[in-house]
Amino acid sequence: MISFFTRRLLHSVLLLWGVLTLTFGALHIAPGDPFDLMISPETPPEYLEAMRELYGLDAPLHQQYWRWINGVVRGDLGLSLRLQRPVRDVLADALPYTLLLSSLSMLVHFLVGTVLGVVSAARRASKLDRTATIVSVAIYSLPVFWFALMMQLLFSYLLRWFPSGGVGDVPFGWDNLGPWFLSMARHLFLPVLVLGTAGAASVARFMRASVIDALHQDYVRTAYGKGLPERLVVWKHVFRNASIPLITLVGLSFPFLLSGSIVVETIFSWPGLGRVMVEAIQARDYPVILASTMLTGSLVVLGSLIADVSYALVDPRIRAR
Amino acid sequence: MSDSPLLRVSNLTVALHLEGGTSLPVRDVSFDVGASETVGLVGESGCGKSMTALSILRLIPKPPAEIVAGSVNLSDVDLLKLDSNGIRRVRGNRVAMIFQEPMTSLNPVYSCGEQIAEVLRLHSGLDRRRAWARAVEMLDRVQIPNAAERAREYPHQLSGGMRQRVMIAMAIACNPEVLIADEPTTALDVTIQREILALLDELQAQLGMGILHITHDLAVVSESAHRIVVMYAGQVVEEASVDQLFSAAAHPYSLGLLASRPELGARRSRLPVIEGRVPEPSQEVEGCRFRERCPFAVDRCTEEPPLLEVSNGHRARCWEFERVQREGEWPRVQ
Amino acid sequence: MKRRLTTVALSLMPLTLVCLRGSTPWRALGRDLDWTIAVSTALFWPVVVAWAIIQPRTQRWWRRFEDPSARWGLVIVVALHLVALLAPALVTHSPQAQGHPVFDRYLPPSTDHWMGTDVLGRDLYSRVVYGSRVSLTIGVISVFVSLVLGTIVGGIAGYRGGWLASALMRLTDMMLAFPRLVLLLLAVALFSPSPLVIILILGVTGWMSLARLVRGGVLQVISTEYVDAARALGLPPHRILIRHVLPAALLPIIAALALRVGNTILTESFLSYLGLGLQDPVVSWGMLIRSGRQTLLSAWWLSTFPGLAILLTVLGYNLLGDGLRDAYDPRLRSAVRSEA
Repeated sequence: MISFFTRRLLHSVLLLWGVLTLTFGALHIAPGDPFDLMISPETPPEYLEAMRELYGLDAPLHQQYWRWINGVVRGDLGLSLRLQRPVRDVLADALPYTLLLSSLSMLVHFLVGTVLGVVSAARRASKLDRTATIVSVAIYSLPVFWFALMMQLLFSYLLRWFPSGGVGDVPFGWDNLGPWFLSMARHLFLPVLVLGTAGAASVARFMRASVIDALHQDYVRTAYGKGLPERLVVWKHVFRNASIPLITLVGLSFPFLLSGSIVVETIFSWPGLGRVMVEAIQARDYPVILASTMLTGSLVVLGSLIADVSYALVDPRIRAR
Repeated sequence: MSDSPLLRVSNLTVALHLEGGTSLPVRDVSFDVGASETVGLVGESGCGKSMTALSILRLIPKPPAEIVAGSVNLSDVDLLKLDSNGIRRVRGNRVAMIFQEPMTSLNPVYSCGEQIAEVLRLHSGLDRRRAWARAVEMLDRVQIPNAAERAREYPHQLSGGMRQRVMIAMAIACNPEVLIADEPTTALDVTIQREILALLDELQAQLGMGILHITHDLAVVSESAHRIVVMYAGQVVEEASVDQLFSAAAHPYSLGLLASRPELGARRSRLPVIEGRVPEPSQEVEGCRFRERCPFAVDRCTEEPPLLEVSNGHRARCWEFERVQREGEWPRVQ
Repeated sequence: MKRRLTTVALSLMPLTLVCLRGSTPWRALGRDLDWTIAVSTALFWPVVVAWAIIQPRTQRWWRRFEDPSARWGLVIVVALHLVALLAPALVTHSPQAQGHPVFDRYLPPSTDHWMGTDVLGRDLYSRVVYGSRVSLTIGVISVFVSLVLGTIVGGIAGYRGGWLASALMRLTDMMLAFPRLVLLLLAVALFSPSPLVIILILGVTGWMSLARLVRGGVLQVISTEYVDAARALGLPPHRILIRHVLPAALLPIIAALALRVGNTILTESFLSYLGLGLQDPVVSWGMLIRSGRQTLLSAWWLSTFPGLAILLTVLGYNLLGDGLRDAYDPRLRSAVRSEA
């Protein structure tokens, strides 16, 4: 049990190191360095030299690499070219917004997706199942950014129910918790709806296949043979088994959620990591691009670590190994 | 045969609706199981014996399979007429079932004790703690050493024989009147097989339950069963006490089954083979369904024989049962 | 039935080439795309035919299209490829022709302009039709690039084993740790986006899941008896790999490929929507949606119709992929089987 966790942890650290190296490498594979692309021909060469020195780009590669790793470990991610602020602060401001949006969406998509998947598997080939299958394929095929635009058109421009974007201007405070919460909820509704719907479809598809698989196991017959009602058989015996692969899906949904929040944040002007990243790319703000790439990579590694550990907690067979 | 049988299956017919059409894997099957009686239901795989067993508790998968006729009476209740709540109260409580694959028949994510306690909570209304205590007691009863510890273990931590004992503990937890055992020892080693059979006999002596033992292997039931029902291609072809069957089998197919048992120290170098193939459940055969493979077949066999009374409690579905009994041996292979 | 379908597929191939030879207005679309359109539309048919040949003889391949979702997917996909191929014949206006600067801009859908016009008075319907070429081309070719990379990595990792295999699979894990979109954004930030670069970037960031599939398939097939038999007969390893291992491992991959094409088209359209993908004068659906986002309320058609086009295309590929996967997955097929 202990060795499983230490092994898994070591693997994650290794993966994290790979993520760092890969991001560093990506920057150096590119032709020239950031300043070649960033600065117009009339920029004085002395300025370029000074900038290169400031960012340490004149040093040999292995020194740069060492400095980069060292910086990351100490939490020093450099200075944003565009905002003239430490990258760490920029990311620290954005991260909570992304985490809030993704965790709420995750809640929606796993709750809705699981229930829908289990019900359509248990009532296989029923009208409900057929409708759910068609709808989920359609949602799965939806361009999320376009869906977001359409929701914006419908709910904020035509019906005027929800704001079209942003986080609202009600400041957080203990005395105005109510208004703050209300404003947050109103602003979060559309992003979470879009991201949650997109995810729910794939969870439902996955869950349906997983439950159908579990329904054909012998222990299901045993459970019926004991006299358990169908509700208990499905939600206790089948669900527990079928949800084991679902845990992997939770871990794997981190990349999806982060990609998704890039899309949704761009359209709903949500000040999270995704928007920071897109803006940084449009402005060629390399320190921010690198750091946010690294941060998302780390979040994904963390996600799969959590998934593996909870996998072991749910499935007694893994624990034993 | 007891006067008022505990379990009476009469004229049970099961249809299977598949893409290719409808077939009848179980045709007009009737038999009784009395209290403290073990009935062996014997036949080769695909003859409909498992389907019969599952139909008793209505555990057959409903969309493809359907019980189209017959009744299953437990004391005076027809199980086939109960509503879904009614049949649930019978399952695991008055009639329990154990299956062939102890590896996969237990749920891998719940501990053994939990799975036994679940039945008790459901049917006996015990609370969590008392159900657990009783589950441990049950494990002890099926002769699992260190029952208290084993109860906390998961199925994958146990050997095949142990798992089957857990299945049995689960089945007898509520003192069922009838236990249906579907090939309970097929997946186990021979030595373990014997232990499990002995355990079933012992439990029957203690609890007085009727056992319906389904198997493809005559040898398995030859010692423990009181009566044997032989099935072929969805039909009961012979019903007899063990002695009657072994000394004077009246259906050629039973004779073939008996003959293809390897006997220790037998002089015969080759076991006889029943030539030909079993008709598909969907295939309609004119007359006796065994006719094409039968060495005793005569013209009359194109007419379907009913179950004929051979002697007291001995019936066979064969026009020529007297000749079969007289010759008493499957013709040798040339 | 089989012969008819094969004939149709085969006869479409020369037709594809004939259409691409012509000097129709599509030359205006940007010179870089010429060869890509040629390859992708021509590529699609051989893939369908090759797949039919891969099938074991005993299984009739069109049976795999008996599932309604696979059938509808195939119909949609084939129809869209035909639209891309025959775009010049299907449009009502030239996709780049600008209308009157006052009277022709922002016209709502009408009988003359089926999907309305944009800010420069260009016919949206014609632009959407031409956009299919770009989306399908990029989708199909970049998935092909992924397939080549994935087959190489997965094939080696599955067949060779050892340190090389584990190193390759670690690399795959590492690449999978990044959200694909993040990798793409990083890449388009580093390289200037031309169609070729976009295709390569999409291809290079999309091979990981295919590599895993290939490896899994190879491992599974390698452990079966007929490879042992081939090895016992003394066949050289590369012949075993090509003749025995790959065809069987490819089957599930073909279903995955269809799904990947859909996914790639989605990703490309988002890049274009951000303005980080293809640039004018190439017309892509993502760019069309982008151009309509500021006038969402006043000219709703500008973003709506290209989005529907993407939805239809991706739906087609997903239905096809799903249907094919169900067709070969025996668990989902033989779910209804008798007991006893």
